[in-house]
Amino acid sequence: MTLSNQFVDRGKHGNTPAMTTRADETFLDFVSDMRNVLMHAPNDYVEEVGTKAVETAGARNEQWPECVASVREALMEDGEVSTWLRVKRSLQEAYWDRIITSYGEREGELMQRLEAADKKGPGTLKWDPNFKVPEYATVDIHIQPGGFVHHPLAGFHYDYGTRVFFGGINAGDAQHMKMARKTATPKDGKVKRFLDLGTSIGQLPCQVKRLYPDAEVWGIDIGAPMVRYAHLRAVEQDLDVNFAQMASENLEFPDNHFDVVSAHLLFHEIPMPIIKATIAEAFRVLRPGGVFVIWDFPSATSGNRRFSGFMRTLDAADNGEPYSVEFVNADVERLMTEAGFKLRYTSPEDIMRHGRVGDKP
Amino acid sequence: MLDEPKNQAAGDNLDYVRDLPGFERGHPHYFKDPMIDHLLEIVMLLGGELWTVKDRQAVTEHLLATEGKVTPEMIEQFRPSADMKEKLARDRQTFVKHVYSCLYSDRAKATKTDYFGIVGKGE
Repeated sequence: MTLSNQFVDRGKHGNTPAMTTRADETFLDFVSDMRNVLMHAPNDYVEEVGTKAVETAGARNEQWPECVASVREALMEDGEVSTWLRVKRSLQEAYWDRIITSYGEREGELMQRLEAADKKGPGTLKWDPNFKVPEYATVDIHIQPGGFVHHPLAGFHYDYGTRVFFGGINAGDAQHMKMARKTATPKDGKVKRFLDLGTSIGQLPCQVKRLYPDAEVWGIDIGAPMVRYAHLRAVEQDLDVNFAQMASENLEFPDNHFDVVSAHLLFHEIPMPIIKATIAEAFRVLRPGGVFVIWDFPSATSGNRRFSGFMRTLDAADNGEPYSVEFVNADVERLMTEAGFKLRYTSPEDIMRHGRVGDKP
Repeated sequence: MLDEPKNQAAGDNLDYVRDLPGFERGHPHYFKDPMIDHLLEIVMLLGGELWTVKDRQAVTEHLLATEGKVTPEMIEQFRPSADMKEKLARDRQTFVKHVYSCLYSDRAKATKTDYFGIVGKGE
């Protein structure tokens, strides 16, 4: 079967549409391996050497432009660190470029797929072509051109991009199934309504639906392209999951409604006023006894250099994650407590194992 | 069952976000002479293009050996067996290590870490 007059239908990899040509796919396999060998492998060494270089230069690891400039300058003194940073950035630019070009070859057909799925079930979809996206959410997150809100195929791009990023370990959304299993449930065990905030392409709520088939499961995201693609993905898996374009700080759900609210890797992508408002909204929509689970980066105080120091400062600047520095430096547990949550865990080790878990009294 | 949004006040005091590094995509360089950045990038991209040629050659040879002919459509539709997929992956990883491992000293070739190795640890 052909998708157009030009291209052969190359099917899917798990839930992810294949690249338009074998050459595109092969190039991206190469990029993925390059990331594993040249980025992940020397990670610890680069952290150690880079940290010393920044300390020696007396550069301040803060999120402001002049601090980032001084950190960059300090790191230029070490060729291996410079190489690591160049490899990381160039490979990331290369995979976005190839993915967007490849899917772009058959944009019309992919748009038709989205439009056809919009009207299909089993789950529902709500999005608004006139939705006013707040400025904070217009960032090219992970330097994905157009971020999550501007390109109509952003969900497709994100799906294949994370396939490259994870280097094969998330095939079939396996890691999301692990996260779904680990996500805390209310102490009374009742999971009838589940909401995932900042759901991107809906991998977590789809796996939650598999775990709790009788539950009403929702995923919301601020990007229309993301929720449309999340819905398409769920429809193709015949999963009854509901998706809606919605800001996490402005939820369109009743009070005391959900048993579980989750946020997987959302919080380091939103600025502090939105973090505070999102925690308040999660508290409002949870029923008494409901539980809020935040899966995200560890705090800078945990001592993990990947999430603090120069690695975080430069990753925030060069990976399109401008709010991640204020997130790792925030006392998120205190913010949850101030909002009314009772924390299940307080030690950094427990938080990494279970997430930041707050029960609504 | 969707309600009207209630939290209209959220979003105040966000002007500072425009000044944060990373809000704009930018074009960072990591060497004092940005030409080194460009050259390293070119070398990596060429490696990717060379690998696609090597892969296409392997698929072409396989199709000729097993089918006696090859067309562009056959290459696009080709799905390698598990064994061949594994061999291609092994060859690709060997190629990457062979060509690029000289970029780092021995000390740098250390442990592998990834996001899921840190968050959700204990699985």
